[in-house]
Parts: sequence; structure tokens; C-alpha cells
Amino acid sequence: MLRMQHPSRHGDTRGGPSTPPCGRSGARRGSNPLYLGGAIVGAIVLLALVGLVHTPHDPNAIGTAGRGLGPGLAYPMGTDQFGRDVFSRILHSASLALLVGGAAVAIGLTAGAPLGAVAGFAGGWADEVIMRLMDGLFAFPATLLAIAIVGALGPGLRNTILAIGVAYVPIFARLARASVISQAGAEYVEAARAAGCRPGRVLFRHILPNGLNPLLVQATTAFGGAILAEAALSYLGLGVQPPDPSWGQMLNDAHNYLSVAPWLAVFPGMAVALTVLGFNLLGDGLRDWLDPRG
Amino acid sequence: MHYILRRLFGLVVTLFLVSLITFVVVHVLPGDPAMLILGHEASPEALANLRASLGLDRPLVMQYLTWLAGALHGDLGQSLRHGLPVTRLIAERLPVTGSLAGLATLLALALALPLGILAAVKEGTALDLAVLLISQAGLALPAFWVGILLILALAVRGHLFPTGGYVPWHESVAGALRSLALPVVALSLPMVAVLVRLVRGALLEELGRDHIRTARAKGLPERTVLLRHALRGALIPTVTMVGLQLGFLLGGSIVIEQVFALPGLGRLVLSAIANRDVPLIQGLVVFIAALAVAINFAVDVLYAALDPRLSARR
Repeated sequence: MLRMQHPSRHGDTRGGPSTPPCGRSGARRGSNPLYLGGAIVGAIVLLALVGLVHTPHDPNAIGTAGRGLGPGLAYPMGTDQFGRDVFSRILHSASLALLVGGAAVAIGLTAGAPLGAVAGFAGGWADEVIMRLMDGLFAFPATLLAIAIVGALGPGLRNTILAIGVAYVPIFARLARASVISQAGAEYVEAARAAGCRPGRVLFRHILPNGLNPLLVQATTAFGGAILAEAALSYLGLGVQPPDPSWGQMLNDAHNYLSVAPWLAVFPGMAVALTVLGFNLLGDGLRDWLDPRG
Repeated sequence: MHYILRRLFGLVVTLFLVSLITFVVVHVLPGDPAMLILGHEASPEALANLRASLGLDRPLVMQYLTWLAGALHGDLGQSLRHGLPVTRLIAERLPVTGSLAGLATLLALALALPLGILAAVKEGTALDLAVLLISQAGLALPAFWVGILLILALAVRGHLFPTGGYVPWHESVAGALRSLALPVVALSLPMVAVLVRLVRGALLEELGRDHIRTARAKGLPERTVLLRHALRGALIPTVTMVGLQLGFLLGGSIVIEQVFALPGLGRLVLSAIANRDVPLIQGLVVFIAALAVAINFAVDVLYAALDPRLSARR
């Protein structure tokens, strides 16, 4: 994680020694959510990478073991209706969940943030047109918008990413706009100029890092949200399609075998919940860390 | 008054944009409604005739304007699959989704207010931490997965509730409540999680204000200070969040209705997408989004009425 310079803001009198506008920022302590969230996310990224290279059994091999075996020594999370190893499938799907999360956030961020920044910077009719459009997009319940987009484009990995990404665009646009507007007139910008910082340094070392913080926090939380959304879409049969396994799809299968193979419904849901929890904690921790006023 | 008029204008613009965005999204659909109705063996002439009679051969702008003109008169067109007016299909399914979302909101408030107050009063204790942990869990657990687990524990194993399906209110109130209980719990969980944090944070902020110090200095009992003075201020952000969350709830109910086989608007959206029923998708998506917009508007106006400072400031 990059340590970003964060001079104390206008009106902030609480806590810590004040930061000189052109100097190095003082020591900032992390918090439990930051470490815990970081550890969970780190572990899941690691497991996802392992799952790409190696799984205990072939995640898609049908009938290599008994069908519908409960959790045991050979198959710690049991096998499904086709005799596929649930643990291997969960491990194999982790990279896909992270891919959807990362790519959806990247779409929301790269489309939304510049739009919002331009709106906030230019003002006037450009601001009005862009933000009205964003309000229109934001008016849709995000799940409904994503379902409508996937419904229109057809199911599949690429369209799932696109649908969730588009639903994120207005959120990042609003944040970026608010950020640019609040930073441009801030006292520390004037102070930095007065202290002799060159305009480039003011923009890149002061305005930009401060303006990026809320976006970074939002991106972290949105990462988890995208994984939740992908699980829901795939559960509905609108998201990732077989043979690509996904946690949501596994839960859809599991729903049909609840009375005979309840373990099938337990483990994929735990994988989603733990991953999302990790990103949420990391987002909370980052927010506290980046904004001491928290 | 000026504030409400301006918000009303914004509402009209937003609704217009919602219908336009929906139209653009829905008409990217790769399927051909005419072929859906007549089947793959239909002759090209028959398909062309049907397209003409459905107005599908006209430019998109004209199709949109025709749809908009109809919508302004309360006509959202005919479902291709059901052969019924879209408005009638919506009216049939609305009570299910309405009951689900309404009850989930009530449950969320009933759980989140006491828990949030408790956490704020006991700030920093193990109890506070426990409430915050529950809230974190509520944000991370997929609501539809919680629904599946509830079915597993209380319907498949416990036989206390049906595994799915809906009993209308007019047939049996107890039956309706039994069929809605599990989906309501599952749907309300994320809302509880959001509201608990909000109530706790808002209450802590209120408790640090001058008027609370004054109230305490007057010798008012802590209970009165908390419930009469502090909670009133904390309720304002809570009400706004409930309005915002209702839109989220309408989106979430699509998935929950599928889990519990509830015949609401959400399941209708999914079946309309599966059937490529373009007019039904268009009408439903606009209706649900408009509902969310209208609820937010109502909350905002209510709010301005309660707190005159807001309308003056904006």
C-alpha cells in the first residue's frame, strides 16, 4: 500500500501534530479493521493464485469420486451432484470472483471518475449535463440496472463485469466531482502555494492524493460489492456461465439439492461472505487511516 | 415551497432520463420479439407484418416517443408473452413486492434502532463491539444465501415455514405472514447492518452537541436526554437512509423473490428477460426505478417539511 501524504485539513484541530504543507506526513497508525481486512484479502488473493495453478482435484471432472459425498477427509467440503470436489471448485472460482470485482471497479472508476472530475472542474452546463445523466443512472436500484443490462446483452463473464461496472459509474462520478470541488478551494492548497510549492507539486502531491482518498476507499468497498453482485447474478443464471464455475452458480445448484446435500449450500456462501467481509473491513480501515477525522 | 418546486422539476427530469436509459438498454436486446411470438418456422413475410404491426420497423426515436406518450397516459403497452397490459401485470404483482419490501423495512427499523442506540450508549464496550460485528456480518453475507440457509434450517429441516411460494393476504393473513417471514428476514439483513451503524454514529454525534449538555445540566434524567433530545436529531439521517435503502431493497427483492418463489415484480422481471418480452421489461424496469425515485422524493419533501432550515439553505 502506498503511503500517501495527507496534510491536516481546513478546520481540523483534533489530534496529532499538524503537518507542514510541504513536508513529510507524520506517522499514522493503522487500525484493527485495516490489518484484519488486509490479512483476509491477502489470504484470498493468495488462495486464488494457488487455485489458478493447482487444485486438489480437477474442479470440472465429472464422476471421479462418489456423487453427493458429505464433507470428509478426502473431500473436506464434500462432492456435488456430479461428484466434483466442492473445495477444488471454490478454490478455482476465487480468481474469477476477484477478476469480476477488479474489472467492474476499474470500469466504474475509469469511466466515472474523469466524468465527475470534469463536471466539478468545468462547472456550468457541462456539469449540469453530466451530473443529470449520472443522477438518471443512479436512480436505478443497482441490482435492477445490472440485471437489465445483463438481460439485454446476454449472460456471461464479460457482460456481468460490464453490467456491474456501469452501475458503479455514477457513484464514482459523484465522489470525484465532490472531491475536486472541495479540494480546489481548500486552505492547504493556498498554504502549499504560499510555502513555495510549484503548481505541479500542488496538483500531484496535494490536490490529487487528497482527492483520491475517497475514491480509493469507495473502490475497496465497491470491490466487495461487485463480488456480492456477481454471486447474485450468477445465482439467477444471468452471470458467469458453465463451464466457468462461480460461487453464485454453485449456490444455484445447491438450492436444488438442499434436502439431500445441504453442505453444497454452505461453503460457497461462506467464500463470498468472507471475501466481501475482507474488502469491507479493508475499506473501513483505509477510510480511518486516510482521514484522521473519521 | 420554492425548494419543493425545484425538487419536483428535478424529479421530472430524472424520471425522463430513467425511461430514456431503460429504452436504450432494453433495445440493445439481441432477440427478435416477432420471431419469439411466431416461432422460428414463421415466414419472412409474416415476421415483417408482425414487426410492422408492433411498430418495430420504425426508427427507435419514434418508438420511444410513442412509448413515452403512452406511459404519460398510464399505458405501458402489452406484454408479448402474457398478451395483457403491462400495467395490469404490475398491479397483480405489486402487493407481493410491496409487502416484502414494506415488512423488511419495518423489521430493519425495529432491529436497528434499539441495537444502534444500545451500541452508542455502551460505546467502546464488548456489547458495542458485538453490535458492530453483527453489522459487518450483515453487510458481507449475501442476502440470498441467508435466504437459502433459512430455508435449509427452518423449512427443509424444521418444517416451521414453507420452502417457498406465496399465500395472498385475502386468503389467509397467517398464511401470508408465514410465507413472507423468511424472505423478509433475509431481505432486511443488509438494511439492518447499514442502519445500525448509521443510528450509532448519528447518536454519538448528537450526544456530543451543546443542546445535550444543556439538557443534562438542567438535570433531566439520562433516559429523557437520550430518547427525547438526542434520538430526535439522530432520526433525521436515519429517515433519509431508509429512503435510499428502499431503492436498494427493491433491487434486492428481485433475487429474494427468486429464492423463495414469490410471484412479485422481481420474478416478473426475470421471466420477462428470459422470454425477451421487451415491452414488459421496459415497463417493469421503468416502474421499479420510478418507484425508488418517488420514494426518495417523498422522503426529501417530508424532511424539508420537518426541518425548515434545509429548504432555506438549498
